[in-house]
Amino acid sequence: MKQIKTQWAAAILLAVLALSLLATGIWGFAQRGQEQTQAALLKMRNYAVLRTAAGAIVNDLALNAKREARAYADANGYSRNQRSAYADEQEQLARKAAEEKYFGSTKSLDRTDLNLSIEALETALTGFTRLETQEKAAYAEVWREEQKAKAAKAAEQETASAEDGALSEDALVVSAEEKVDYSGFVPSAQLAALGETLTPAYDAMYDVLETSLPDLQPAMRAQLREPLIAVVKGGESDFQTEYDHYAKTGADTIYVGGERTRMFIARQATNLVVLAAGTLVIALTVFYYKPLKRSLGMPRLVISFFFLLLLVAAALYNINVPGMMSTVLWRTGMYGVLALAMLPGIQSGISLNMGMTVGIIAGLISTLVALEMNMTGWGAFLFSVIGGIILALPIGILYGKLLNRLQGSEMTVSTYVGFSFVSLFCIAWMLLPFKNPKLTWALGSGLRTMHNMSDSFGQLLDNFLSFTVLGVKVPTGLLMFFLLCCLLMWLFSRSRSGLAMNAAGANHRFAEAAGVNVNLMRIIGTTISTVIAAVGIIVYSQSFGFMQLYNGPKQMGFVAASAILIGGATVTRAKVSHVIIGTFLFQGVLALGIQVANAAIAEGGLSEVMRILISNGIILYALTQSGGESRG
Amino acid sequence: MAELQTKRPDAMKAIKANLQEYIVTYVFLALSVLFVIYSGRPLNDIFSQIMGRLSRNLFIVLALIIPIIAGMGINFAITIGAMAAQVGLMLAINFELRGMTGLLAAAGITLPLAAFFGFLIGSLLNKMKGQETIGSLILGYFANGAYQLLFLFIFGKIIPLSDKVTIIGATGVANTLNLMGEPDMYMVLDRVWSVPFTTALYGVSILLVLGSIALYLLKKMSLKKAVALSALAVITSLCVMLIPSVAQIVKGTRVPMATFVLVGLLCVFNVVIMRTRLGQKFRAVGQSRSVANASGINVNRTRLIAIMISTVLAGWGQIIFIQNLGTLQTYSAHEMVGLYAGAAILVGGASLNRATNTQAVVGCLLFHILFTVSQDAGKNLFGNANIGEFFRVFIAYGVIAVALVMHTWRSNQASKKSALQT
Repeated sequence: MKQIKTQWAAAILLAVLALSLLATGIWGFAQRGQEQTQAALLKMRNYAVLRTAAGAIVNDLALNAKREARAYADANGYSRNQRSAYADEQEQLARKAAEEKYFGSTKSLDRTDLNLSIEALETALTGFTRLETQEKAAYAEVWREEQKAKAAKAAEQETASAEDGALSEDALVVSAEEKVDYSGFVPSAQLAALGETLTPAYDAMYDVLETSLPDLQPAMRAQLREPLIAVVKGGESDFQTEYDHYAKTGADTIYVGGERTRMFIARQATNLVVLAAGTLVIALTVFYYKPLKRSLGMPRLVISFFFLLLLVAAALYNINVPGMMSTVLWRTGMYGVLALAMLPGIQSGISLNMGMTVGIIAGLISTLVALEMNMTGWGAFLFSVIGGIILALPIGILYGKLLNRLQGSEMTVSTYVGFSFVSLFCIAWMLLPFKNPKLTWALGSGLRTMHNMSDSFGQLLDNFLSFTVLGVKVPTGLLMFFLLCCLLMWLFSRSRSGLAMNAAGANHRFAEAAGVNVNLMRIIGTTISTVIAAVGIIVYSQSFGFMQLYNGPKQMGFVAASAILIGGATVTRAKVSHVIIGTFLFQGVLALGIQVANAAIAEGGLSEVMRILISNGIILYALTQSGGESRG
Repeated sequence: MAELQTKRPDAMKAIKANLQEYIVTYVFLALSVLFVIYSGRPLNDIFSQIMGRLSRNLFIVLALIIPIIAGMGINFAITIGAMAAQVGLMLAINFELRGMTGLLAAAGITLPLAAFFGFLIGSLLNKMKGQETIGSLILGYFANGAYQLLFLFIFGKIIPLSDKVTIIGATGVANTLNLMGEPDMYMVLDRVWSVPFTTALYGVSILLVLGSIALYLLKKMSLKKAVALSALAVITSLCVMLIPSVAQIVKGTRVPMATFVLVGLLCVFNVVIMRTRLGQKFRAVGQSRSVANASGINVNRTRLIAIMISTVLAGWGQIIFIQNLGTLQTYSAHEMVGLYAGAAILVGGASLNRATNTQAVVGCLLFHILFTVSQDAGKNLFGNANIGEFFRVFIAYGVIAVALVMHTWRSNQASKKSALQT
């Protein structure tokens, strides 16, 4: 009873917090339109201009101080270390004094002629900025493509190694999201000409600036041109962008007291609303904790919660939401079929089929044959899929027969059988007689580690009937293929043998008593699992754009297992819906996680760590839930 | 005559049973011989390499024995013990401890850390009885994630570290920590007492002969075993002494005695603990949890202790390993520990519920012979050194897979038989 009360209290408190955040946020939005706020924003812009100009003077003074300090140190025979320490100290002191003097004094400066001249420059800048934005966007796109190609090339060159090969698609995805390096940007002739026409407006403004800041040196006119134009910028943009743009120069220090709070709330209005939504989610989770836990199960609850929180964080970090949703959809389709391969295994009672890698290898071989024969397009895809199925069938039957003798520890054995199969094929990839120079190493023999699929059937399904809605690219063909596989699997589980298979998995003694051939059902389940895995890797490779050999498939079983478990399956019970929900949640969390982690700490590696923790954590959880004693 | 006839089928049966039992070991032995021949490397060179590999790997392999006896299968979570050891070593370097002091400090830090982790591992494995092997494997993977998180984002950021272990401008702990030079921990244990192989062999042989005589007189050892041991010691020594080609092989190889003394102590510990009450509990729990429970043994607690001991020992083993290597690959040194140690002990003929010191030592020896020569053999047999490298990874996984299959197969058959009998 007491626990319920605290739960209620916490939920209500959180809800109140959420509502107050929401109210503040809405008030902030309302403020944005107010005349008062607009005036304050203009004041900030003018101060930003003054501050940038004053910054040049401050720098100048600080450098002078440093030079003098060095000369002084040399005259007094300081040692090298002492000299640089002394010079740095003097520079800091001078900078501080100058900042206080110039940044402080310009705050109260409010000259109409300066305001007008800045206004004039801003108007003159409008066309220039628009063109520049366009050109920079075009440049960024080219740059991104180049980076992608570079990463792909690096991946292709990657040498095979016996140690664990991690999935490198995260590296490829991330490289496309990286901050664009504009150092290679060259303005077009038109832009340069437009820039020239700005000179009169700039000169006029600078003349006024000189009267306000008498310490400006003549040389600074040219030197300050670029930074000052960047500050004034011009063009249309929303409140938040404009505020941030000026704040970058440190101009937000101009506000004091009430004005400061108001401007801050107006600036953070979007974030406040997002935070309010996040808090509301937490409040609702706390309030409905028990029923949610019952209907979703602990892991699904935690992951869904985490997914929503990541969405909030993504909004806070200004991450491009449509682009992100495209990635989530893409990854869901990419991994979906692989995760589906876990389903018949669980249903037929062999628990998590970590040895689905044997099916994956079958799919890889048939794809390699298609590539060897230089097939392209739908023909290549169909050939690979059908070839993969034909190869996987006998392997699956044999594998199922093996697993029948090992009832009770299928998961342990299948993990190691899968690992051995992958490492055996590491040798096979070196020795198989593929001859196409596109597939083999230029020097020596053996297949390369990564194979670019762009000239065979890369992204074939992804681009089929694909469309963009609200900025979200929907890979229609890919999703349709995934759902088609799910539908077939669902239909099968409704059929006579499907029902028998389910019964065999749920309780093999009971099924045996009811006249079901349990061993046969287990073989059927394992075979279907293996076949789906073969198809799954083909879908994955075409979607990813690369086929990975050697240690690439090693961890696939774990990825698939985590997905279906996150969807709510246990090691003895699973449904088609678990596959769809699980893949979406797992890949969603990973895709969001990469971007949020990159925005938050600007360091790679965290997403990989997150993948390891989530993926293995969920499998461990499922194992502890499978009961203390081994089954069977 | 009649006696012989009845004896012969017995002997045949015994040989057949032995073959079935140790099929993996024999196949491995044959493979090793084949690979040594095809590697084309001088035996002298191979021998000294294997000596080094044995000295740094044996301890960890021996750490696997107790959980196996306690019925918990191969404890692949020893990687977590290795991680604890790496934390200890990193901190020792961070605090600028040097030489033996640093190594002992690292071992000291490892003890409580690994014991605590062992407690956690054991608690988790108690919730998945019957699935310990896969459970500990995945737990090792999971812990690797936590380890990366700790070393990349917590050490150096939230917990400040000196620039001995971090790189300015990079995140977290440096990729490689050097034990040579300033920390002076490189081979610090191995250097304590190092003698030529022949000296070591004669010394050990004399000890063996004296020891078996003493044990026989104290009635702790059967005459047969005592004679066999002494004969083995004497013959090996004589071989080295009298046959020049054998002497040539071992020439130049030095033996880090201090390390091997530690390994020997661990062997003795493994034997002695089985004679204590705790050891009896391990054995009882390993044979049957329900029977052990019925006779009043706290099964969960016993399993917990087994895993804790194993984790701490594995941590110390990793310290021995890294001091011998001289550099610590911060983010990968622990990854293959479980795989290689598990494969080694299985090569020696251990199974998921039975393991001895001898099996561990023999397995470690065979496994590392193959490891040493597989690259050259791969190059000579297939014209590609990479194939040898892939082959040894395949062998490691394959051995574990085969051992698992054989074990499950047998125990399933046994339970079927007993089900038929009742």
